[in-house]
Amino acid sequence: MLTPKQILDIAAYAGKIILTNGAEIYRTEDTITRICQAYGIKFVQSLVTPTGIFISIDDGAELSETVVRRIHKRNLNLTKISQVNEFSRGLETNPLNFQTAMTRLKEISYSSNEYSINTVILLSSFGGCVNVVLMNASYFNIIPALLASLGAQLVIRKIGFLKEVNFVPQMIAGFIAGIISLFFFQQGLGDNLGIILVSSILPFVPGVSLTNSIRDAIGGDLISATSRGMEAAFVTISLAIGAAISLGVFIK
Amino acid sequence: MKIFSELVAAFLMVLTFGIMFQAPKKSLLLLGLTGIVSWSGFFISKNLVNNVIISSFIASCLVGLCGEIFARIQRLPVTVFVIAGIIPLVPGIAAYDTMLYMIKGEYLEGIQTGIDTILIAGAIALAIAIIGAMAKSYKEWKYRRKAKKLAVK
Repeated sequence: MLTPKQILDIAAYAGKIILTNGAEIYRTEDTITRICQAYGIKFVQSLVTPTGIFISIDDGAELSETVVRRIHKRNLNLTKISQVNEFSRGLETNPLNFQTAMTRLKEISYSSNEYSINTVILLSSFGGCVNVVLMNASYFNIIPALLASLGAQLVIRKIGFLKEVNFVPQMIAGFIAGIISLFFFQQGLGDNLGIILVSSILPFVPGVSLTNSIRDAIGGDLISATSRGMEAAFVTISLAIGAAISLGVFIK
Repeated sequence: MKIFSELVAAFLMVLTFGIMFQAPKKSLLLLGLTGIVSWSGFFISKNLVNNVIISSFIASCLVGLCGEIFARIQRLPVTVFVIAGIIPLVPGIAAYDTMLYMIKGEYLEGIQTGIDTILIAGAIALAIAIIGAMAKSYKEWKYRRKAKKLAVK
């Protein structure tokens, strides 16, 4: 039998992993509640915002415990979310003891990414430039779009330029992609500047913030919905500003 | 022939963006399928009604539906499929045109295309929200029915 403190530790750790890796709010709260109930705690209240987790449990008698976890860094890994999801569902049928549960969560938390950064950069640049086909442009535009996307992603993702700051990397990505695509366009490679530029900055589009914001809004988590919606809007605007600066400076 | 190459492109695009978001390996094939389904919906509805906003709405509905179904098949979070699935529908060209008009100082055209961009993005968001809400009420309905059956017994 686990002490309430240990149960809270497991629940908070699982919640922290999936929230930092880009889960929605209701999924995080669901996971926390499910883990606590799997260990036989009847009354669980959890309040999750994009920047913190608060959990309070109560066994109906004299005992109650609370824990707070602050979230600073956020990145994205859908594999980890599904792993923790599986873990919490498995607990319902088979409640692990404290040591095994924490080791399993640590394994998930520290496991390396499914795909290496080089694979991600190469493939997502390719995926972005395929957009040229969908937009009915001539296939020549694929090459400059691929190169511009590679250039922008190498600077931002690989070198990690200004990684800690919000919104500025996207602005710079837009700027770099703009310069490279403008260069190739003026050299005569590719015939549609707009499609080249849009395809090359597609990997920076805030799809996660947008989707999560909508799903949080229908779930009733208004704080997270508005803040993530604002994040998506600001990221888009920064991309546009970056591209606009490069085009505005060099197009005349 | 053109639709064929577009479907291949949609497949590759959604699959590679799934890789960018570190989706689990077992979901990749179904991710590509989401792209194919949503883009064929987009293509057909665009030929029928010739309106990008409505076609984006229909295609995003298909993305949401595919996400809900595939997520239940593979026991994965729905977002795995939805996040990558909406990428081909992003109104990139409209946003680009808005930006270009704004740089040139043609604010009226800029606002026109800007409203277009917002409407397309809103259509995508609305579709995801509707499908999400429907899935939620379906889940509740199933749960209630199960509870009723237990009560009868």
